[in-house]
Amino acid sequence: MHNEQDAIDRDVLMTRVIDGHATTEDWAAFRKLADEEPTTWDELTQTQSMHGSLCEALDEATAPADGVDLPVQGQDAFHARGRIARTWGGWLIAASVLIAWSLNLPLQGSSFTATSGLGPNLGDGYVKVDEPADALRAYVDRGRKDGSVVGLVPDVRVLETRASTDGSGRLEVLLVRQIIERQQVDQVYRWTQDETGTLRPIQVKVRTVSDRPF
Amino acid sequence: MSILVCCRSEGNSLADTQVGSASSDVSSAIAGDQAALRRVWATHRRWVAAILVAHKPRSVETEDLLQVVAMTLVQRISDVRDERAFRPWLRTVAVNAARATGRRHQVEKKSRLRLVRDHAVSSIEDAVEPEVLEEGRVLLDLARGLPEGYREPLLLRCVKGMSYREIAKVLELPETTIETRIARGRRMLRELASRTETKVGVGEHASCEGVADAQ
Repeated sequence: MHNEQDAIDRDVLMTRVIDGHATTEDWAAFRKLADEEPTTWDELTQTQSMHGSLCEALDEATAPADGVDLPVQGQDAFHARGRIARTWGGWLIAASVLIAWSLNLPLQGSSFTATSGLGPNLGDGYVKVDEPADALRAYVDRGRKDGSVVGLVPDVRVLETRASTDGSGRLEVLLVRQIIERQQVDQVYRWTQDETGTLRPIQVKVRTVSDRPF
Repeated sequence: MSILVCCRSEGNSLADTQVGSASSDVSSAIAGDQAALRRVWATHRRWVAAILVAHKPRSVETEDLLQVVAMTLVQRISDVRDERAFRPWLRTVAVNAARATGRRHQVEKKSRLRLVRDHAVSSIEDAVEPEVLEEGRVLLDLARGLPEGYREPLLLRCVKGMSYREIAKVLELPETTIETRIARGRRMLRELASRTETKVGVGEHASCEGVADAQ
């Protein structure tokens, strides 16, 4: 059995051999150790093999580094625009839809008529919305036509179920309904935080190519 | 018994040549030379990636963190006081980026909604990938569980051509300490691997006990 210092010397000698730093004296000391305890050779072989495997795995894990270049100049302006877009983008979109609906303006695109609801037919390009479900249906149908909507996820996710507060004995269910959309973009970014906690856009390199339809 | 023959010379390592020739580039980059900065990044990004691998949560992409480090490098390189401080500074940037992601990852995991139908989804993230069964990946996983002081030198030694001298510059430690830590790290890894009878289920938090550092 080795004490701690012996083990250290043994480890260091082994590491020098593996890394190609062993001097003549180191080799002599190592052979002496191995003569005293023959399993030392096995340990050396095992450790070197593990070092090789570890390095292969690390090489694979760090390979993406070769494809990461420094960000181009002008990225700061992009950050500012990104922050503004994130802060206001959702509200702007919501507001524009609200305005369009309140004025009964045609949604983008053409030749679509919603048939639900009562009242006069407003003609092609107009959507009559009596209930929220009408708007959703119109959106999905129209999106399917132009390819921007793939479809509705059939399973809804139930977040919470509780008794209704109106005393009717009915239940209120809080749920998430998911819509799968398709968009074509020039580049995609993922938001992440740097070491100071500032949000940064990270360009994602998409390499997957597929002719399989969504 | 067959045994290995090692003949690589530390003094002539690739990294010595590469990083040595890049020294003037570091100074130029600090002074604002963009072309030099690109060369500096190309020279150093592999070991930066190794540092990230040593510190990041498994589920976070190394490439994403590299982009963060690259961004910080561009924005803050002028803050580095001199060439010698560059590598430790870059290492700190990488460690901070990985740790910040780790902290956020923990918060996200804790605050994640537990949905009724979501059990299968939430368990995917923590599942062991089939590829991890490969020896090298299992070892890398085990190595990531080693104490930081051993983990970094051990992994940096695997970066093509990183010599003890270069590792010492990055970690701001004497070369002898680097040698000792690599040696001890290898022993810890060997012991961890031998204790892991089946290679499935080896987590990030495997630990080594009873190990003292000799400097």
